[in-house]
Amino acid sequence: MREGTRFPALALGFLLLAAPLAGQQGAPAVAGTGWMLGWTPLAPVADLPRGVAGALPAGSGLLAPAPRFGIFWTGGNPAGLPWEAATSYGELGVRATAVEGEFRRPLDAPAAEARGSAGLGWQPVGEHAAMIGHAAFDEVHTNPGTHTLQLEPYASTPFVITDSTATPHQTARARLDGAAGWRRGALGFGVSVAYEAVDASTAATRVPRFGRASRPAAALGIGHELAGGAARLGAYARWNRTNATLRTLASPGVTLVTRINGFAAPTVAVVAPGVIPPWYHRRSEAEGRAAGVTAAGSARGWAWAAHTEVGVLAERSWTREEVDPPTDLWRARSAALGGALQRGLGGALLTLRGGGVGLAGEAHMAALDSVIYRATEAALHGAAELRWQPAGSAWQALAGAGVAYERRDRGDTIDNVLRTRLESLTRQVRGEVAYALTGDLSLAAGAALTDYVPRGSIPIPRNYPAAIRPLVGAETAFYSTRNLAHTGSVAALWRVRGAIALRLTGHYESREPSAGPVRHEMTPEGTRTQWGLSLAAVIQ
Amino acid sequence: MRSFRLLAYLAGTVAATLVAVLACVTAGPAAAQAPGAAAASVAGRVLDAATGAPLGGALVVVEGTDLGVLADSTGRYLLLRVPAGPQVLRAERIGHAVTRVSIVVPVSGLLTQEIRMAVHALQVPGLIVTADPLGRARGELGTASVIEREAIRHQTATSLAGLLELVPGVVLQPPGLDNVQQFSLRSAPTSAGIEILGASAANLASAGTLIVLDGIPLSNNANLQTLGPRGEIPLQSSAGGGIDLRRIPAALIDRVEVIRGVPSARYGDLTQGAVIVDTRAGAVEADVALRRDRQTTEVSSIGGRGVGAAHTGTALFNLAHTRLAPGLREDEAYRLAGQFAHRLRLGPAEGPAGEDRLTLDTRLDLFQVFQDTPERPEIAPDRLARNRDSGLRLAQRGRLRLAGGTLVEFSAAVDRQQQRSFSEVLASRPALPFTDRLTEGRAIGRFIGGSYPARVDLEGDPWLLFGRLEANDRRSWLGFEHEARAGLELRREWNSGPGYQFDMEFPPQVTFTGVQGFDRPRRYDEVPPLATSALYLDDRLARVLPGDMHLMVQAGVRLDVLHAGTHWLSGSRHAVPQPRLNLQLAPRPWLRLRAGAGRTSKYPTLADLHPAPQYHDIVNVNWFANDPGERLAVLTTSILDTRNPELRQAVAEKREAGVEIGARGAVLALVAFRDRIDGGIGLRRTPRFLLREHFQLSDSTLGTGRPPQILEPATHADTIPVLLLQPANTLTLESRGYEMTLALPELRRLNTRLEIQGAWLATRLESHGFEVGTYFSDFQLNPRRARTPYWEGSTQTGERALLNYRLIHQQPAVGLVVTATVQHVAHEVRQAIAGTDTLAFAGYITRTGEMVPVPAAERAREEYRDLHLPRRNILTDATQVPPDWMLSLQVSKTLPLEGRLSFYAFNALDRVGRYARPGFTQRIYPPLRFGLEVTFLPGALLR
Repeated sequence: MREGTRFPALALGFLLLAAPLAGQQGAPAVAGTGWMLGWTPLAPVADLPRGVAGALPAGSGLLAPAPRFGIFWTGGNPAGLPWEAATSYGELGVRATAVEGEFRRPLDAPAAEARGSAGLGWQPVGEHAAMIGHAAFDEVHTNPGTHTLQLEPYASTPFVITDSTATPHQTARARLDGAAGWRRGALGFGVSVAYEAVDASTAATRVPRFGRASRPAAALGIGHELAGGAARLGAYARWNRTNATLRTLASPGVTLVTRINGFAAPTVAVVAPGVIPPWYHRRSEAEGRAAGVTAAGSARGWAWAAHTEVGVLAERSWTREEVDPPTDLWRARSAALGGALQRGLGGALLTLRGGGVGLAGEAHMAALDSVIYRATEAALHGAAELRWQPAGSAWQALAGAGVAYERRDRGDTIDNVLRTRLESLTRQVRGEVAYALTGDLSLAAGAALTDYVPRGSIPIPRNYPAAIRPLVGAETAFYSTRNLAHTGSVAALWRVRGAIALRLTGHYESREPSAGPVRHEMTPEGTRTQWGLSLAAVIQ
Repeated sequence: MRSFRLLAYLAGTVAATLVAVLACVTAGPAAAQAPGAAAASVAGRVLDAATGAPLGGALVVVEGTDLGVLADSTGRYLLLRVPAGPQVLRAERIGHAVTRVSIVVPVSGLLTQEIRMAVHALQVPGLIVTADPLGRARGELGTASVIEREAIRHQTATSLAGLLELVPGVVLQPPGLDNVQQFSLRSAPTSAGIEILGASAANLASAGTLIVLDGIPLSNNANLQTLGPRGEIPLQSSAGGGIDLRRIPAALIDRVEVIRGVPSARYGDLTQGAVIVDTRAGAVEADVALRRDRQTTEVSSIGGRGVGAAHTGTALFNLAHTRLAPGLREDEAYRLAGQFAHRLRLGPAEGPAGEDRLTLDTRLDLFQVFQDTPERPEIAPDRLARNRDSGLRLAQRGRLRLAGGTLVEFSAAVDRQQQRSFSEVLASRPALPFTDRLTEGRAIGRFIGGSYPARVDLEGDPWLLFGRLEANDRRSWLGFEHEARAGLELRREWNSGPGYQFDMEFPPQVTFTGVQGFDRPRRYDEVPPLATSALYLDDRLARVLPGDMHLMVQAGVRLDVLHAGTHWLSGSRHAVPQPRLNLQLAPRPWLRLRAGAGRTSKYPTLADLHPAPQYHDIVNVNWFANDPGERLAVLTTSILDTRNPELRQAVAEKREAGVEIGARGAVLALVAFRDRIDGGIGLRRTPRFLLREHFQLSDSTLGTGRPPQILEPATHADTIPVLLLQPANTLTLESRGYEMTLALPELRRLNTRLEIQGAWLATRLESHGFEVGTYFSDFQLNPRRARTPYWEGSTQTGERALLNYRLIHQQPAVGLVVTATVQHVAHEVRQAIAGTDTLAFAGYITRTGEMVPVPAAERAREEYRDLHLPRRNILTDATQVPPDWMLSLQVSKTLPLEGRLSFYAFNALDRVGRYARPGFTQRIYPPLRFGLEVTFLPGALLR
């Protein structure tokens, strides 16, 4: 009934490198700038989306600011902002990325292109306050498309709406994040708000699909400075909500539509000429609440930060447009713990980060009066980074390594046919060098190697029900396949005038299955490549 | 009695106005300031908000007046004779954002007021990003909403229609060029449960909302892009209602004044109110604005510079494109708009400081709005439409300051548009006897039918010639400060287009009952022009009463003349005297009581005055054989003249009363109003009859290959009842309601303000004609039916209550402004009122077109049993829409190099609307729409 994969012996240590653009196999969205956006209240609550490889923390290149620490930057508590944003920084840029290749999950588009613009900046306001803001707008074109317009088809929730068509689609996404903090004596107060909107639709199809979603979020925090500024302790509460609407229409004509709704039996709609086209509607409203404690400080030359958070998520989904419709439910709770250390070592800067998340959730379907699905998931990660610039040298170097471990136990409770238990270990090494050609122009190049190694048990893909086999079977086959990603990046920074500089960055990634003990009949073949180019004006 | 009161009111107002105006004009320039006249001086310095440095050369004006002065090199300014009471100072300077400061001017003496100007508007504390609740339109005393440039920049709008959402009672719509955008002031949507022939409440109200662009009215009176009452084929046209506001880009607008109350006598050809739009012009540094969301892409640019001291030139440009249904259809709309402005200033004058002796403004506007619904061959073959409206307008305005202070203003404009509508649908018809005869008489016809693409081309070229001469004077007389004006206005409108064209072999519109017939092509350049003229007198008086109460009165009278012929000397067809009066009493500086009453009128349109003739193709012989050579169709064409020599202007009576309270930074304004339009133009049915001759056929044997012949003379004739459809003043539109604006003081610690706007509107459209229901067609063709019932006209009603909450959070230090608008539709119901039972008929029509009323008490009699018919196709149940709310959001932030970034999200929380429940229909909200706008100064990149 079940096949398995095993961890091979731990591979050799890998060298290097930089520009991690892990994940994003489907829609290469213009995201935030790594640690600069870790504070956003839009961060998932009680949700652990399944990435392409393990969840490694994002790093930053040598031509970008080094990661910062504190109850705001590390823990997301906005009350820490006035202490931790004492200088100004801003960047405004445009980006273009493209991804293609067949080594992908079934709900990732075979090919996608994205263009976007983003801006981010922070500055102190007076002596006792600081603000930070971020805005991004991007458009993604996929051709061919995918079977869903759902925002995050690989989230922890099992309620994913798909249909049998995969026509090209376009997605527009905008996002705003902002936080403000005030300090009064040893006390700090802060608020952060964020908003994201997504609008997607198919093009040139007889069965047009439309998806849209809005995500407001907010957090309130309080902080207190201890021991004359040697440490800060804080607490915060965070809330976010997702309202999503999916709609499928059918144009008049002979059309056959198969719809799959979670694990319910698929339905088939036949549309004939002259018949009023049927439509399908799905509304989902998810609300997440979290509370956390953050702490940061410095001791014996080390800067440190730590945080812990507990969260709950409640998602309601319905299909019938009526008052009090039958509702599918997904409820999840999570606990997270994380921390970071940083220390200067002469001309070097060492940064260590680590953390973990545990999640448990269960689903109810409107048509059934019991739990139909359960998920228990956990993820751990750790990373180290060393930046080094010899005194008086025009050279800089960066070396980093990371490891992530995930364990996911997901399955239905009805006949247990869909149950998967997967563990994975992801290891990454990266490195980067930079050279200052002149006082105004610097160049950098880097590379990274990421190795994803799964083990565990999954159903034999051919035993899945036929309607969902191409989707669920192919997904589990993908996640049980060892793969390797090579990443390279180049960057140039040109100081134009005063505090204004232009930064041009390019990156390339290639991912492909590597030699493993088991190949399933649905294991994707080929490679998956992604490239990106960004140009940003930096004001520092 | 009512007429007598009106006459007395009119006579009194006219007399008072004439006396005031004549007194002003005859009084010497050195008229002493009378005791009680309310005037003081306002002085101060204009400073840079960031550095505190003096700003020389800033123009400081008192809004709503012609008082203005330039600050000297040390930033000092002095304004003399400023009317007492609440006023707004406005400062403008190149390189700085426009700044407005509210002040309360004392009765006499000197008020010192410092004005701080910031380089970027987002850095000005207390930024006004919504309509000013205390604002007054220039030269007006009636209730108005004033929308300034900064409010415009914070309102996500593609066209003027989007800006007007800042007016109480207006529903938010997503930005874009979606469909025709017309605007109705103070009107609620009414029921569609019953059709009132010829007009809708929305059409009447939008047609009666005057739009004035840069001092020259826009007009839709010569728009003939309509297929008339049949309307079988859909057209994307604004004909019959107000102008399509898509032609006016929001990005190019500097200021909008929405006169919701009783306008001054200066404004005519309106029933609801007036929207006064000023575009940006002057020596401004070139800026470029780019906006993009998934459906709309828009780019705007404006730049102006001075040449010497006398000349200033400005160029404005806008290009916008909207995908109307992305993912579903390829429908799209685009707009191209531009303006070139030139100002010549010659002076200085001896009048108020800062005034030039002569100012000449020349504007050349052009626009094109194109909407395309392409064919989808695999889904809906042979169904497509497109509409292109383009226009070119040359306007000249001048202000001449005469010795003694009298100001003469003159305006002249020629506005030429080109309107092209094309629509195609797949028509499927049985074989019908057909004639294309264009004159009355009998003819041999032929048979047409089958499925074919029915195409219509409407090609109209409306013209507007406009001129106005106005004299303004400010005097102190009889204890009042007077601002008097008198003016003459001339308009001529016509349409020179080729008109309504189609292939006669494939007629697009067919009402074939054997009685009515086919449409005929019609040239628009044969339609006589519409000539109108108007005279107006207006005086605005102000004085301080005992107890330090400030009184302002605006009284005026206007005479709108609809000429009988095609020019202004052709005599009067209908003249409407229109007295108008507005009062404002401020017993305390924080309290204003206001009331207004007046009459306005709206001219008939060219389509009303010269409707297309009504063709009836009565079938005498309908001999159809399989062999086309053996068929015979004989038809008699009758042409009925649908023009109505009694057609007059629609007349509106407007009343309003309000109170404004302003204290400690909070402002509350409440207004109650009632507008009633009598003589709104709808379609009147007049029963007539036509004679139908019957003939014998010579040889009707099949297989001969020849058609039979008719044998003269006719064997007999019978009567066919028909209905003549004529435009007539049959409609009454009544709107009443309450409007509220509450602006709370800024919470300074949070840099946050809240403004609440509310409106309850009730609209009622009443038809005074009669209706014949669905039985008339059968009655026409069935000679055994001796009569058919008719019913009294019906009524459409609608009510809506709206609340808008606008939260403005500002961080001037970082140049950030967040505007969140929540619109709560608290109540919405529509209902049609009409008798529907079998005894509801009002009388009957005979076969000779006679209307015989039946008293209500006799309708149940047995002799009327054949008239006891239910009235069909009418829905009189109330349509309720559940209350719901929606949020829209805008976040603006300064960028380096004097740029600005704005994010907007319409229906930001993606509300889908409340679902239907018993007694309520579903409320469906428009989709989530979001995007970015970037504004930057190209010159800043080079500095």
